[in-house]
Amino acid sequence: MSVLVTSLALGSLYCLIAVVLVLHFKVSGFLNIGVLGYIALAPYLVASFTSEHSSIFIFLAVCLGIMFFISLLSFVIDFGLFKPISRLSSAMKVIVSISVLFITLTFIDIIWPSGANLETPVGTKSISIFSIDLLLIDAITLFVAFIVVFGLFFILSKTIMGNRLLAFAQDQQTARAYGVSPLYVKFLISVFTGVMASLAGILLASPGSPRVGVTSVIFYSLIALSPVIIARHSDLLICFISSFLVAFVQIFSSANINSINEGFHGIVSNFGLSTAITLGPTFADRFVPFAIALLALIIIPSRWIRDDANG
Amino acid sequence: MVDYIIIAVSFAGIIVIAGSGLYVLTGLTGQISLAQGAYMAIGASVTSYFARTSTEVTGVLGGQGLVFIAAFAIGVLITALCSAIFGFLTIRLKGASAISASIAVSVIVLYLIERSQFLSGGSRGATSSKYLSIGNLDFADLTIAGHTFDRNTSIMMLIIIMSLVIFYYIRNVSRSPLARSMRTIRERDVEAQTCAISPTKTIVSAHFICGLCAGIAGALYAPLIESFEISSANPWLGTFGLIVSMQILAFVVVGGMRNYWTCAGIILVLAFLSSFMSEFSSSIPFLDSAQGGRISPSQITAILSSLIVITIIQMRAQFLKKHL
Repeated sequence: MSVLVTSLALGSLYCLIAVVLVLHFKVSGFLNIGVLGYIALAPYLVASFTSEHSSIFIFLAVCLGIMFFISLLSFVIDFGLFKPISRLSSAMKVIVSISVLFITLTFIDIIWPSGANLETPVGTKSISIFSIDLLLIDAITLFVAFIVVFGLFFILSKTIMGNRLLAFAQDQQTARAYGVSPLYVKFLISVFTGVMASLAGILLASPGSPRVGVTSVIFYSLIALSPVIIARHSDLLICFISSFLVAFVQIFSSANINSINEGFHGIVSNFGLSTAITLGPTFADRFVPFAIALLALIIIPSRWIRDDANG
Repeated sequence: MVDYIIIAVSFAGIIVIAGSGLYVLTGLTGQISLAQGAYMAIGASVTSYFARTSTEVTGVLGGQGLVFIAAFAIGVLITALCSAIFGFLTIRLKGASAISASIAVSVIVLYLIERSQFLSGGSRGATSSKYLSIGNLDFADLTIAGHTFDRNTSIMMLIIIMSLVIFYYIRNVSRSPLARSMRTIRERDVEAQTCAISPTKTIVSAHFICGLCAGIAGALYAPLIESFEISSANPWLGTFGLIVSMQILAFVVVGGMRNYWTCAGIILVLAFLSSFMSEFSSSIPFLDSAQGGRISPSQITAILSSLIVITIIQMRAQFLKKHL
């Protein structure tokens, strides 16, 4: 049961990150890896403005401020860096987004050379729901992620704002002809990015299993690329499902690492390598999610692949 | 100053070799890859493993004690085969899917090397072989006409020779029928098949050449830095992390993917500048973190090379806007 609960909490975090990336991809037509930089930046900023003695209201106010700041940053970068190169190929845009990530990570490294310690008002308190002990931060994560993701699905499918956004994503020329302003769409995407990236970053860095602080955020963000890969960058529903699938397989293999290690040793001992290669405790984090993503790319039939060949 | 230049030239040569492979894959075939750093890691660790002698082996690190040229050939071939297998598996992927797949394969490769402790040396890290014998010449301690060069200068010469060989080879590849097939696949893959061009053969060949160059770059990079650590703890950073792949890809894209001469020239200049800035900034006390400053040379390099890439891409967009 604990595997399931932890998987749900981690899956919902992956979902937040993956949905932002997919949304960006749908609207701008390229994989904006720079978003991972915003996710990494958010917890450092929150940790700088709060302490373990901060009240819940101050903490929430700081979080809101950081969301606003990340939204603004996203908008400025989108407008300043990506708009001028809108006619270039998607490869160029991806490279610019990689450079943005590069700069963000380096600035984080310069400003916070020894990392930061994010303390949330809930700490590592746990609650009991239906006789299941659950970390409060995991419950909050689940709640927030579901609210945000389903809120986004609702906005996209039921509101005029969402329909405009999807129309722009599908055919920019026609959408513009029907009066959908590109500036409006970019503004909306920046707001979604700010909110979801900040939430994902802060929740990922909060103390609680299986997360281990702010320095691991960028690694978990990288794992969140797996659902994006499985969803071919364009299908929000598959992205949603695969986030939980990746998290479940990751947590399950982490919980059963000893059995997996024994099985692996049984196989490689035939090649005389049993003492030379060990899977180690990091197998679940560093191998499983990426292997699933790669496998999904390789085995999913070609007809399922959407027309995203050029970005 | 001379030391900085020697290191910068060596680094630039290595990046030109790795970038030339990526030029074939990205420039000619249109497949984008961020796995070049991981392939370099394979080249570096496998070559070092086969070249290390029993006296150089410590702890869990392994070694086979082959002469450098044999170890080099095995390391490069294994890297090229790994790259070709990856190319074969991801043959139908393009654009963002190809980038994502290469990120996934990078992390997996780094993890597998890390866990193979006879290659990576575990937490202690791995060392390269002290001897770099090619025929009668030992490029770790080169003596020409009675004059003995130090290790770094000798390795720089080896890197320059290999860069020229690769340059000549890729220039020939870019003029060959294979390159025409690659360009056709890049522009019109469906039409290419009607012209009896096999996408499988062409794309796998491009991946093989890309892996070959990355393997050579990695095999030469290991002796230059002498000891290296391969870790998947943070796949972004590290000697062969994703950021290295990104840097190489950015240099290739900025260099222009149509003409190999221009591309190789620009990669050389950017890599030299990047490495020189990095090496030279370590002598400025207020900058270097090791001397009480706030910013390390690698951080300066990271920021400046990213800014250069962004500026050049923005300038290219402005140029196209004005002239098209």
